[in-house]
Amino acid sequence: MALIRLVSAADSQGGALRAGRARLPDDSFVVRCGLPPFRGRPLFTACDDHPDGVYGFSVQCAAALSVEQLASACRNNTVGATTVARIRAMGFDVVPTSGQWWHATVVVPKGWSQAESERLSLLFEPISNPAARR
Amino acid sequence: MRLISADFNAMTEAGHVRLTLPCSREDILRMSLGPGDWAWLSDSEILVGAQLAIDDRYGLVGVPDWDTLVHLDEEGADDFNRVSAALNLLLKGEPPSIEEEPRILELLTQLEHVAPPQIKDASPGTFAFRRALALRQMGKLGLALLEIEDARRFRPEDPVVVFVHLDLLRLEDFPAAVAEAETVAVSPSVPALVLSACINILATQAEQAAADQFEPAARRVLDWCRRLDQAPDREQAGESLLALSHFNRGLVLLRAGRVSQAREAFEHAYRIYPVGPMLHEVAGLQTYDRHAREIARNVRTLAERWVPTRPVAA
Repeated sequence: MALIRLVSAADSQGGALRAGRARLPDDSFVVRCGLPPFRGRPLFTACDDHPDGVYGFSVQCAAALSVEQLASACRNNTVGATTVARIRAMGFDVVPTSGQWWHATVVVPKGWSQAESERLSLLFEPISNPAARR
Repeated sequence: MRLISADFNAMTEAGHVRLTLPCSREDILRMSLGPGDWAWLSDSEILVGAQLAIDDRYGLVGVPDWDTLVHLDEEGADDFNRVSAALNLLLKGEPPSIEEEPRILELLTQLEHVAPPQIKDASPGTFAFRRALALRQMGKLGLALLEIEDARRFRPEDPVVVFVHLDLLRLEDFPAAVAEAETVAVSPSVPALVLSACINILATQAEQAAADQFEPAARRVLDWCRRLDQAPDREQAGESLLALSHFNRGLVLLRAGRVSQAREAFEHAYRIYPVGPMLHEVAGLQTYDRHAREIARNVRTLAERWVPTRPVAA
């Protein structure tokens, strides 16, 4: 039987450390693996409490990286892309959080509605993933 | 298919998929899954086999085996005829090469995904069965077992499916294989093919048994071998598996000190299926020693290739 209890690379202080990270610039790209508007995995059902202490759904986001670079974290043949500014303009935020590659969380209120999640999903433009991870 | 909705965006630093999202939690609760279990994770565009585990920081995660990645979002993957033609081309050359098995796994899964219900209903469990064989060839035994259990739910009486199930249990979970073989062999009408798998399992157990536990195990193996000799459908087991049963009988007899009977059984095995220098070497065994055990292990490894590839009713 394979190991079934894993020790994460991030330690228990991860949340506190990450809380001090720089705010993502507005012009940063945000990439979510999969074909927008993510009908197979609606944003509404993809939210949870991240151990870093925020509630929302996972994306790839980092300052000064191209969509292509961020999409290289995905195995899906299509990704959705938008910018931090557009997400902030809708009243939400994007913060770096622990996880693989350039993991970040789009922070949403816990009580958000399905309609709001569908509107947010429309911000993501479908882009063929030129660097899908194999 | 044991499928968990998953979000491949939510990955831990170690590359494991967080399964604490509501979409995943629902499936996990419904199927009562927990750490150690195998399942398929999917976001409806890609699908991958994974073993569930607990991460100290993230809670329940899936540890994906990316060798089993299936792209449902591949161009043409939604075209039944196209996928079917590509799969048939690969399966025509059976036995396919090991390099082709990941693609066979992918095409089977794509095909099941787009197949009209009447096709899936016509032969339930066939996709899972063939997927189990591909995964077995790829050495993904946990997932292969998951698939063959799925196939067996639909085809509990199909001797080929039961055979492959027993064989995978033998490789992945030997105590469970022994328990299952004992249960299955109780039925007087157990098909010869299935009985041959039971014999192989019990003979392995007898071989490993402590001296004081050997005799009852050996008696049972010999009893089952006699049943196989008299089974009206014994030809369905095929020459290789019948030879393996004679080999197992011989090995048990050798350990019991009945050397001439053992040699007779080995020679019989060799006559039925004279393939490979190993079985020839077996015929010369005189004592149950380290060398004999080594040969036994090699023969069983060789015999792992002797697996039927189609369910009876496919």
